[in-house]
Amino acid sequence: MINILELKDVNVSFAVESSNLHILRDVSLQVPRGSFLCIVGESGCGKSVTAQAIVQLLPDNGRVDSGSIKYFEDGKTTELNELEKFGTQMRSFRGAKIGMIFQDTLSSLNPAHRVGRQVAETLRQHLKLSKDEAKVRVIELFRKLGIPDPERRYNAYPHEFSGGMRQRVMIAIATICEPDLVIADEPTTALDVTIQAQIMTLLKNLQKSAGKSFILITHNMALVSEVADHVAVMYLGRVVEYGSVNQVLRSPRHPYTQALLQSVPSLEADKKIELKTVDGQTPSPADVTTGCEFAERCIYAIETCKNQLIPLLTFEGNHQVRCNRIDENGNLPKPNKVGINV
Amino acid sequence: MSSKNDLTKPLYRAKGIKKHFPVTGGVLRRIIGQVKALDGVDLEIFRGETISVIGESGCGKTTLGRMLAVLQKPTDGELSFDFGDGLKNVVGLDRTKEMAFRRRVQMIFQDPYTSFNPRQRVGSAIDEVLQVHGNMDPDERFSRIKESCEMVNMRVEYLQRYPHEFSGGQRQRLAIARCLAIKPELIIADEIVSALDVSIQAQIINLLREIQSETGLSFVFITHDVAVARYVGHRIAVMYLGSIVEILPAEALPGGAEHPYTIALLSAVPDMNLQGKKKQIALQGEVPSPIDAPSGCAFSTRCPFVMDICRLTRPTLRLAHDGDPSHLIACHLEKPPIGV
Amino acid sequence: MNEKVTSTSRLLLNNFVTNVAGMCGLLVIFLVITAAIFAEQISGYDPNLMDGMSTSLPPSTDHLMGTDQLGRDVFSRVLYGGRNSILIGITASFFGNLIGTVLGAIAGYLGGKIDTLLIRVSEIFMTFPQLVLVLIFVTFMGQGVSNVIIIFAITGWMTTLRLVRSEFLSLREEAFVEADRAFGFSKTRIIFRHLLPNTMSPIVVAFTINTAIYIIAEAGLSFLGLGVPVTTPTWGNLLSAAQAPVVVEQYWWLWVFPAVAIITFVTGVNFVGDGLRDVLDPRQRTKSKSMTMSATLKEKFFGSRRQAND
Repeated sequence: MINILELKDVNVSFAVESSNLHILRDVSLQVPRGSFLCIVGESGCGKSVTAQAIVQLLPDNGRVDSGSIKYFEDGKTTELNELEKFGTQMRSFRGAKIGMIFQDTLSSLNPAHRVGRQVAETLRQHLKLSKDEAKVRVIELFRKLGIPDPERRYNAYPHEFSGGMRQRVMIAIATICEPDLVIADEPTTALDVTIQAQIMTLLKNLQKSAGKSFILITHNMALVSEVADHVAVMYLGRVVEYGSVNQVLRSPRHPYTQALLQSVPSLEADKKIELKTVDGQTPSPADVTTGCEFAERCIYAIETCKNQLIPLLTFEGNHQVRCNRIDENGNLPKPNKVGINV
Repeated sequence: MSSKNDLTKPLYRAKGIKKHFPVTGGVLRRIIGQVKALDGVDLEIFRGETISVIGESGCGKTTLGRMLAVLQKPTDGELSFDFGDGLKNVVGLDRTKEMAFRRRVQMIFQDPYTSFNPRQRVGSAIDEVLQVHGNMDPDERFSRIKESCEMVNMRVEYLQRYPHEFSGGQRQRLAIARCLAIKPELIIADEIVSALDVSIQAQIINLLREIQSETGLSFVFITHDVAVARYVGHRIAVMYLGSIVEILPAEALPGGAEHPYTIALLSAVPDMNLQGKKKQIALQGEVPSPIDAPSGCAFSTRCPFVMDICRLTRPTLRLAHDGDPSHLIACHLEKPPIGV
Repeated sequence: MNEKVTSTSRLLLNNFVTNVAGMCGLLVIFLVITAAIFAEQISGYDPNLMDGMSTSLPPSTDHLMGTDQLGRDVFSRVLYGGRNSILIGITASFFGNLIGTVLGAIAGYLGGKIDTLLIRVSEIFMTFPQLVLVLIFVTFMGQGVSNVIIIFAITGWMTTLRLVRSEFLSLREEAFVEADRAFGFSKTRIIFRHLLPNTMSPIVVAFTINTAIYIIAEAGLSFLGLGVPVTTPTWGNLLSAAQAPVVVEQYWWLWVFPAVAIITFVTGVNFVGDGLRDVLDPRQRTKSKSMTMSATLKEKFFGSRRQAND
């Protein structure tokens, strides 16, 4: 399995007021070429920050404290975090080698510019094409992405599109230069379920037909089960579980993953059974500095979980879990906590 | 979860509800069209039941919620509520009767971050509702507040805090407590968990079910999440472009859905356990704008099984093919399209 | 969850205390107002006492700011004048704001015909330049401190009306207002106990700004001899001495001190107003900040040419 991207022990902190918040904690991930990785977690887990760190677009008060982010192509390895943030090399990565799709299309697209121009801009920036050459390519891509009447739509403004259509425009911008890696940050969260299905089909087709690698950031476990090849579950800046989609979703080992999966009712859920969920809410990164981030809410936690380094366990097929309470067979003991009442 | 459904006596009935918003345009601001947010909705809600209302954007489910709460007047149609002796109209009431209605029918909104006055302590906000609705002395009000807080697992001491000191999930619990304080009979919950994390969602969902089994309240649970709708509700109402296309018992999902749109919706919903077992209808295109709503059946422009009659006549709700009296469908197809 | 109960007012107060300009402004205002209130104790001279023996004297240890042509002590006149000017500024601003707030609340919340009517009325008032309106009213009502206050109030309520009205229009759509309506709260209750407290920030800022405006307006009017008559000292009519070029050149202490007083106080008020605005409108700031962040993020990401030298 050749990887296109590797993150190793990446730590990111944000400077807030007079302190440093430890936002990403020893994040390690691999994206094999042509595969679909989903980073999943709830708000505050750092999944978006991970994407920002990869393309060096952290906000001004954020920085990568340690770790490496490596991009592999044709035998050449580039350490992305070593490049200058707005230098030519990094800028050539963004858009041309790594495409990015954002959640909020309304504020990601310039409302004052026609849509076609915005897509063409990226193309001309990286491939030095003329205006007409670029326009032809853009219209063709619009057609491929299912935007009806692409010649006319080329000259339309963002607000004239529906949410689903705007997202297709964003996908066009992200893929027009044919990057090998596409990062999509919650691209369908604001969209209807039927539109989401269409967009996901589009992305999966890109993966299969063009061999593109994807990182999809989402909080929707069900979506993950349908599109992912690999899954990384994050909690408060740490990857608590990583593996293939079958491993993580069918045999989850980490208590948080298990709780997350049980919180979501499926279409065949037994209505007589109460949803098993985690009590309390995600703490602030400032409140957890030692031990396991999940210890406060974990029903298996014991005293050592709160103050010692949590081991990284690897099970067969590279199924990784960070937990203090799992034995060498991959089993958890009996739960000891009943739950917190806030 | 038990529900005492006396099928002959609904608690609340909506009949032929239409809500049209005029669209003005041109220099002279003339009315050039109508946004038909709701175009003839019939719905009955019974005591002790939760009816989930699902649909995608533009279907009118939020507008329906606001009609049921009489936050605005419907353009047409009747809304009647059973105050104790038969259904009575609740639109255009005088102040006293309106207050009697509002004591019984409550609403919780989607955004937990703006549903409380930022300058008012939450305890005072709940107290204010009690003051406006009854003649209780401070002790009685306090015991009611305590009761509601216990029902939502919120400690009373926290009530002296301001809204910004609570998380989204806690604020929704406070919003629920605020409604419960005056002991309503029906609560309309408009996408109340959509803005929350998945684990917090689950907490609130469990809470709602618990409250219902303890108090026998009715709920109208508006959501876009089909799986949650099925889990929470006894019945599901599926909406498309301003009307209800199917009403079915929650357990009938997903296999028992009969309307093509419902089946398409279920096909599109990602689910961890159902791969390969779902009926597959992949919908193309997008929902038409409510201004250019098609004549005849609203779904006729995208329905894979469309017939000529669908474009001419709007289908009305009738009994579904499976014979269950609580399963209604608005479709011209005689048999459900199985085995797509 | 934090253990200390922090009200929004406490938070705002904390923020204001760290705002340097605001605190400086507050200090200045405090000093000037205290001086004005304790005019008698500080100056020791009757501002209207004419001492024929000491006319047009430059500043000295006896008369800190000199004397005018009629032998009156300028320092005490500046202090008493401050009292009147500040009184006019604050009172006119207060009443103008009151009228504007009440009308703006009604227009903003009720909407419809009442709103249209109030807007039209305010527009009629606004078509006249304020100076013209003021002059018309002064002609009819005559001069004097109370008249000036009344005239300022009735010609200056329009901006507050627009301010409050637009706040109400947007607040009206907030979820907590909908919730209030769903609970059956009366319109009065919603307007006065829920909407107004959330509108206080712009009203308070407008109050400070209008105070500064009215002090300067009064100075202008009285300078022209149309505001408060010279018998009651105000900074404005003290300045009117400078109408004669010989005064400007040779008797500088007659006009420089009142001018400095006005500038100092008004600047202080403006700083306080700016500080308040910075502190009281965090919602505006964070909203626009996050929006510009996503737009810039995308632009930065796709390496648009404009961003090349960021």
